[in-house]
Amino acid sequence: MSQIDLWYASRATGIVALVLLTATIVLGILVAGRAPSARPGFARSELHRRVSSVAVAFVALHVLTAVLDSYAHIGWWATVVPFTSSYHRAWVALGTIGVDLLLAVAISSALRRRIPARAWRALHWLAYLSWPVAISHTLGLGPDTRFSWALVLVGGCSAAIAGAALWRGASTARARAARPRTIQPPRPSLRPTKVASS
Amino acid sequence: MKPSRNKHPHPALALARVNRRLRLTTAAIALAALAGTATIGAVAAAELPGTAVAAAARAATTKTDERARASTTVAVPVTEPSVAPTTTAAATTTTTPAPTTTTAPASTTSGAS
Repeated sequence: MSQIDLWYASRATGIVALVLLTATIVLGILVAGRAPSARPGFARSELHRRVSSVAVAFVALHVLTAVLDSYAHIGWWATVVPFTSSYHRAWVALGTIGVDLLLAVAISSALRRRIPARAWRALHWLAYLSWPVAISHTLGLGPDTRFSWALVLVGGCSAAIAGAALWRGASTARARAARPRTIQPPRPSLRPTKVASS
Repeated sequence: MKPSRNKHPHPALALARVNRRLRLTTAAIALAALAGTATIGAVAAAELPGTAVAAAARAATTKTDERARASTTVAVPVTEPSVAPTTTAAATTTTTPAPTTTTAPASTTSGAS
């Protein structure tokens, strides 16, 4: 594989990884919001997990081809430590931050049963942060964004995320509105009452 | 009348069916991603040379692709002499002839009147 093939492979895997990351996040939003579906809940969760695995594999391919391409001079160290690449330092650093966030989400999900649920949820929310970072990396560094088809892809990904987020927000608001409001009686004080002995 | 197996399958069978569908869906997504990678790579490779030429023409206003520029520039071979000329200080003694100036004697005629 020549250097120019590695260059094209890096660009193509980057765009496909962005689409897969978008699909993963949209599926995650739908699963967390309990969207109505013909499939059972565990199947939707499993589909979200499998699509995320494919996305991580394509991110790994993207990083591998970018590092092997000697034109860009992106070292192995720059794949995990931001701002250490001499090639478009800031834009590559955004990609590095996105990879780090994805690694945190993937590792925490693999160890989900061994870490507290609250910690896993907090780490899993990093996935939402990784998406704008990945989009910025694509728009800033990706030379394909001058093509109309690439802009259509990026616009479609943005629309999908925005639509899913809006749906989630609306469904959460509906659920809160439908929740019956009951006036709870005041809780009895747990303080021991002193009985004055006379 | 036997109950329909499609409507009420055994839970284990239903689970196996869901798992099979999941595997097929995952394989289809992975294959589509690979096909998309190949397509995007081919499209980018086909579109880039023409775009690079057009971008070079209006380089002041458009963002140019460095890789495209690097691939479209023609390298001009530079031939250098294989053996560098050696100059010895002793061999390069130059003698500059002294300038010979001939001055014509000025004939002054002074006539007394």
